[in-house]
Amino acid sequence: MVWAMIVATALVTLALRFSFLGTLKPRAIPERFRVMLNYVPPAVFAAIVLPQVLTREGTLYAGLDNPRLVAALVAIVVARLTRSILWTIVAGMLALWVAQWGLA
Amino acid sequence: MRAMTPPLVGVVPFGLVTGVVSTAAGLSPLETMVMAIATFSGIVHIVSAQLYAAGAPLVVIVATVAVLSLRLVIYSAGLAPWLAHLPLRWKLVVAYFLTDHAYALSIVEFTHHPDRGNRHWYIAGGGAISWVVWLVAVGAGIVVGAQVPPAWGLDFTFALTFLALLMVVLHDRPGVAAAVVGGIAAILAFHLPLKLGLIVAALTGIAAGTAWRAMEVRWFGR
Repeated sequence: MVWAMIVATALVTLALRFSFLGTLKPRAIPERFRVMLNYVPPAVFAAIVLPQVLTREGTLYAGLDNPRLVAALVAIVVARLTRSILWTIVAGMLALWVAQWGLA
Repeated sequence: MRAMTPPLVGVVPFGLVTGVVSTAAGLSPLETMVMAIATFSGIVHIVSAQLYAAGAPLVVIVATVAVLSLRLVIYSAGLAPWLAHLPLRWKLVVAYFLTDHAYALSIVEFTHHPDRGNRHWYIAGGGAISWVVWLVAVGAGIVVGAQVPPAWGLDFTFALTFLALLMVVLHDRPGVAAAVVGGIAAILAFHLPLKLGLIVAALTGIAAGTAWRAMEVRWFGR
């Protein structure tokens, strides 16, 4: 049920934030683990984004007739140029609406 | 206050996105607000809500969230030496407020002004400000999400947010390998039972990045 999910995810998140802060003596992260942690953000962000851009209802949809793919390509350019989350969202959504309605 | 302004500009759209996507995933306004307060993390909030809506078992949701949030361990370890003197209850308060931008601001402040005391107030004060901004933005997102028809595809703002973040974190070849492998794995693993696809893809991508880095070290010695 939904409340159990909320409590459980909140506790996990707090536990991760508290992990090293909570230890009695300051400890360094083991080197091997630290190297691994470097690749969490790119792996996680790509794993979240790619299925939403390249699939529809679970099947691959990678042609330029896919409005979300077109919007993502525009968003990548804007993200590279501006390094701004806000402008990336604005440009990506405008591109999505143009691609799905403007060209229909 | 001044140090907080630029990061808060990024907090507002992500808070809106969180409110919109949480609503789209079927959480009520009350559930969304409680979850925003309880997790104080947009990525945890959105991914959990979506997995829950897709019928994933609780253990899969928890495990996925744990892998997604592993970066919080880096932040925790980074701040720990600066805050070792604090009593446990203050460490819990700091831990609750430990977000990406709180970490980024604090570590700069602490290393540039190592002589200043009251470091916990720096995090708690900044955290309280961003907490208020975050919850107002999530609340606004709930309202927007309830008004705007699904055909507008506002849920896509979640993918766009992380696309922007992905562009920022891609700065070396092992990272690119982690992203490419993680992204492809997420598509291939989409139909795994129990909604295990995301956690499997994330772990595969992390393994790819780590392996690439190990090869670089072995072959080029750097």
